[in-house]
Amino acid sequence: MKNFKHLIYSTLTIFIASCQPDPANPLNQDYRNGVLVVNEGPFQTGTGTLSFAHFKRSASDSTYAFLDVFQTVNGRVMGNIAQSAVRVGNHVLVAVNLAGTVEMLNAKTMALEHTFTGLGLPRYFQALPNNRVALSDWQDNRVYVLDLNTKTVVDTVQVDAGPEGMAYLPNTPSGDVLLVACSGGYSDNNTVVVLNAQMNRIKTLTVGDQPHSFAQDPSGTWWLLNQGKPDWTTPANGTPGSLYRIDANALTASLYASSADGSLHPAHLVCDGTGLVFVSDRYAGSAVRMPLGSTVWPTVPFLTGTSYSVAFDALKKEFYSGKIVDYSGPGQLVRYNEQGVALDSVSTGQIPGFILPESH
Amino acid sequence: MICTHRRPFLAVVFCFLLASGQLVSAPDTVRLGTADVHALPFHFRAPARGLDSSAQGWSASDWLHRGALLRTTTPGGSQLVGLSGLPAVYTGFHWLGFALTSPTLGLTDGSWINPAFRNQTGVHTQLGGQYLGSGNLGGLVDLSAQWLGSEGSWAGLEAYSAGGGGATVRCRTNYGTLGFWASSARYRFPYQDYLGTRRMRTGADAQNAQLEWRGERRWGAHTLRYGFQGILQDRGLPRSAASSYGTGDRQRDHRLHTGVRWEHQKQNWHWSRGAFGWMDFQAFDARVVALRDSHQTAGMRVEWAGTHPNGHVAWGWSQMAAWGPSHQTLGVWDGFVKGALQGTGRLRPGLAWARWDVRQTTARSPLGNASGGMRWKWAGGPEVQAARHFRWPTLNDLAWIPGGNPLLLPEAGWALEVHGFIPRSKTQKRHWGQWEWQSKAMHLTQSIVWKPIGVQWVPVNAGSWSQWWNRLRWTAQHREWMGWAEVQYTLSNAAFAVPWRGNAGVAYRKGAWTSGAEYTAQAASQQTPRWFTGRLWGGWQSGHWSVQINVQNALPGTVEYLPYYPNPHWYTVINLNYKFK
Repeated sequence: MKNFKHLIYSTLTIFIASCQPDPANPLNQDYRNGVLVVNEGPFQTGTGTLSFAHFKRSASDSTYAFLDVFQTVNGRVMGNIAQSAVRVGNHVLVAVNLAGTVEMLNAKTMALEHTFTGLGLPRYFQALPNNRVALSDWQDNRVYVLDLNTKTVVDTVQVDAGPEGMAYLPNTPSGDVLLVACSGGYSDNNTVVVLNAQMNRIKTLTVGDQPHSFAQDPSGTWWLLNQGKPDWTTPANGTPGSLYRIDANALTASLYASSADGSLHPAHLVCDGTGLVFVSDRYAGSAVRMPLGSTVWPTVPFLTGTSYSVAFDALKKEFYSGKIVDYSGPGQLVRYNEQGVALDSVSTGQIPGFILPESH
Repeated sequence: MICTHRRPFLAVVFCFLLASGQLVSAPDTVRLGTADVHALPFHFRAPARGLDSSAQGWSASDWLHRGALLRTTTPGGSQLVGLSGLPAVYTGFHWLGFALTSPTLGLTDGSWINPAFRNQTGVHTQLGGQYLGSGNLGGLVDLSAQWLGSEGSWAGLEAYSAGGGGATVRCRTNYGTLGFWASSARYRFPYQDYLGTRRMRTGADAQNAQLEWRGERRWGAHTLRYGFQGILQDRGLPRSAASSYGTGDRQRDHRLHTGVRWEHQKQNWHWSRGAFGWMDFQAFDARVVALRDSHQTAGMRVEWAGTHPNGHVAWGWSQMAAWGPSHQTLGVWDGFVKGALQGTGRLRPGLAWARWDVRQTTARSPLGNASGGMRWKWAGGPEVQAARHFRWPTLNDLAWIPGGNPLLLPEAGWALEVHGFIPRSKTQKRHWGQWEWQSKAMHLTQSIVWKPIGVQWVPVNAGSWSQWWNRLRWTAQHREWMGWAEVQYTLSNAAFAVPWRGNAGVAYRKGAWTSGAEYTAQAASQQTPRWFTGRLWGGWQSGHWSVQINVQNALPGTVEYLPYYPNPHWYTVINLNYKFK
């Protein structure tokens, strides 16, 4: 009987231990329990990386991070300039820009499931129904539709120059539509292309210069952040960033607010439920916050320090900021509470450019 | 005599270095007149004349043999050469005593060495930045360490197994030497990309044409040296093996250098006056992005110098214009004045001072910089040097569109070096060979770093680093055999620092036959991978004819000097040379 008790205790101990993340072993993780950070890596002579961060949320928990889980798990590098990622079902997809690939990973183990090759300069994802994902691509100004069941590219559509962020709007009067912000890529553009469920262009909206990213507030309203067009010679003469409101019924876009500073070019729009948060300048701005209902362009930093990327975890009510330390070494991921107070931080790979929170 | 009649120009160049404590021309005397290329530290020369490859200008192997850190993407790509464990921006290249550094990039490409004059080239790593001006902390590559040299006329053909070939002609006359080199290489070779897919490298081809004339006239105590260099290069820049397969950008370089130097001896003074003019053009044609980027500069420089056994004084001035779509049009003039004192006795101190000023004609900030240096040299023994060094921002740093920062300050710092030989003098040979040791501590502040500020990337004076670089080299020669080994160790907080580096080789000559092998290994830095490479060579010479075969990177794997830019597993270069009487 005594031995039997020992057996039960031992089994329970092992079981409990097996449920806990192992801070020391990247090969024994459930990568759904933490934040993924897509790091660009050095521009020409390196490779992007995928970092993982788990933050302590109970007394028995601990905070830890792995700088390069992709290579650790899969035994090879990810490729030049990692751009963004998305979680779709049991998969994580990572767009690798100059490699022209999308890495399809098991969301729990980070094991490589498939590599989509032959793409151009992939940028951002948007999940679609039926286990499909839209992917914007700068090279030939296309949007690809990837089918994760068949692991193939099932559709390709030409849009305007420099497709960036996308938004999927179901059940509009025009049916399900996909909005594609077309920034111009290496040049300039100011349109949003509206695609229907058959991936046909049904409308083109004129918006601010260099549209970048969309966010939806709790009322269902969609917002579009435009970066503005930089003037490389006299930065102050650039067109300022702006915020457009999208009317999902009429499929129209209207100017809502605009920055007064033409030298700053905002990016990475997210909504925290009561406000819109974005980086005030895409290279070295601070994360600023604009309460919903306000039309005053925010200039006061909301999250401390500069942010190269920003994300909001809607379930945990936490912000994350990706920070570049010196461009030649590891970056940093800082966690903030809903009020913008820094809680803790971990190291990441080089140049953390995109953050995928736990609940996304 | 203070300076030799044969090479007064060289004497002046090395007097600069001597007076400031950079080079020691002879172990037991600092008489300036003994300065000559033959007094260079012997390890910088080829392991045995004629055993080295003469193909492709200076090949990567040539630089590795000389202890340099090398950044190159393919055999035909730009060769960015770092000395003393530092990046290439701290290596100076001189021709006829004038700096060749591209003012826009702050760099000189090691592939600009014309093979017809390769044996007249010297490499120095000893401290001298305070006297040679901007960006010489790592060392100096002197393309005219010997202006004409003793080498006669020859012609050669070369063929590369990676595809292509070239021809070199060196024509020595009573008036000077003409060197011509033309080559076209495809550099198609298999490699494996980061996905493990075997690919064939394309778009890494290189076309080179170089014409150089070096003339010399002597009368009485006067010597006039003059020459020109013309360089045309069109090269493919492969894309990273961690990116999608495809052809990379193209780089075109057009350069023209011309110079004249008149020297004469009067009593204890050696006088030198020189003028140098240049034009350079560089263009990048990007493939991923529809972008063509080019820039060009043109300018001239004049110098005057007087050298005495106990000192040296010099001044110079230059005017330059830069233009092109990639940066603002601007004019720059700079000037310098410098002096040095040389002590006597068993412990011979030296003291040097220099003032360099740069002003942009568009009324931007001046970039003056005062430098100084000291040296203690024990007769026939080790020497200790201390110097303040600096590096000006490049024209790209100052005026690039977008982001050029006209408010940049020069990088500046201090360095301390000890250097010596075992046996004590490098002319004392032992049957077990000779050791040379060198230790250099360097500190730099106001490091220029490009950072994103506001809307664009901007260079700022934001960094500092300290580095302690050590080198130990052994060389021995016994009958037909010659061997050498070198180890470098660097302790640094800089991202570019390579902690360990080793090189070893052996050469054998028997009658008309020569052969050898050399291997180099380098540890990883934060920016570069670790690698191991080697070469094998063999040759035969009879009368006027000689043939040589070089196997570069004679290893089963690729070598990457920069991450994800593989060079061929191995490739062969065959040379056929004919030496004229």
